[in-house]
Amino acid sequence: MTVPEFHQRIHVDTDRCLGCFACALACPEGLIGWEDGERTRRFHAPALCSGDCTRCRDACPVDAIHLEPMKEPAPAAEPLCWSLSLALCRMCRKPFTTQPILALLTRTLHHTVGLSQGECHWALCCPACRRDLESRRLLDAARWNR
Amino acid sequence: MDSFLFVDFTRCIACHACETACGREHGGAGRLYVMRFENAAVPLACRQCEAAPCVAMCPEDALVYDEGSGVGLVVERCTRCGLCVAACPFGVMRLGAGPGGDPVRCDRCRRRREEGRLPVCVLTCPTQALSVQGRAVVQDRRRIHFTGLRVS
Repeated sequence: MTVPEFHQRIHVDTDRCLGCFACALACPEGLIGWEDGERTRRFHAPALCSGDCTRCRDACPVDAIHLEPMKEPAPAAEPLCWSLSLALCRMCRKPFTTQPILALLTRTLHHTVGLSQGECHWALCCPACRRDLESRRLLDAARWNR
Repeated sequence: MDSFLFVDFTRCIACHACETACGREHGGAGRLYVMRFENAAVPLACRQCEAAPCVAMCPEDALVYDEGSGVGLVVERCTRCGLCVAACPFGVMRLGAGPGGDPVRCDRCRRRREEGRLPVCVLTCPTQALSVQGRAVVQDRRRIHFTGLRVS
């Protein structure tokens, strides 16, 4: 049995990309990868992939991936590479997410959950520091109620 | 069946038994976080926010809020993008270990709950700092939180 060989060109709208890694985890061949540096998260992906799989595109929460089917085998192309700024925790100064995700969180908290920026200062902290903030607040509340 | 986890952290002795029991029940690390301070300890777990940021952030509607049972995860819809982890105001959500790990947070032992049994952390806690309470009881203690969210 011969398997028909499809090729598709991967286009990534780097302005839309949030820097989550849904596409990387969705790719059955593990072709999309990322590394976190001190200040940036760097993604790399091949320019072309074989197969008619669309899992990376389907997984992308912001539709930043466009797959262009190719009729003929395409010449080799430079792999894709893009980076996004990481957001540093306001308390411990360690990176914990990307700037676009943080911006989306602030917008979501405002529009959907109804929190103004002043009410969600915790959003600028990493999960470990959020746990620390919360437990200290609970302890303070208990002292007042005693 | 009562299904909201109530934590009386003034009784907590920071033995980490709940964390261990949770990890054994669900595999991997525990979903409770016992925070230790000089003369106190605070076990933290998912607070089942009503207007939950994790639910609002989820692009695939994989996280859903249910009046009776709080926040639930529909695993088949989840793409493991991690936006919920960034959204949790209490930092009690993380992605499971290894590539493709699902978001991990306290679901108050959903499987055991369906069988009418208590969550393992509640069973294990030697000082009864953890208990399951009805929504009304937990709601009585509910307050507008410093995060600005109504939580259980």
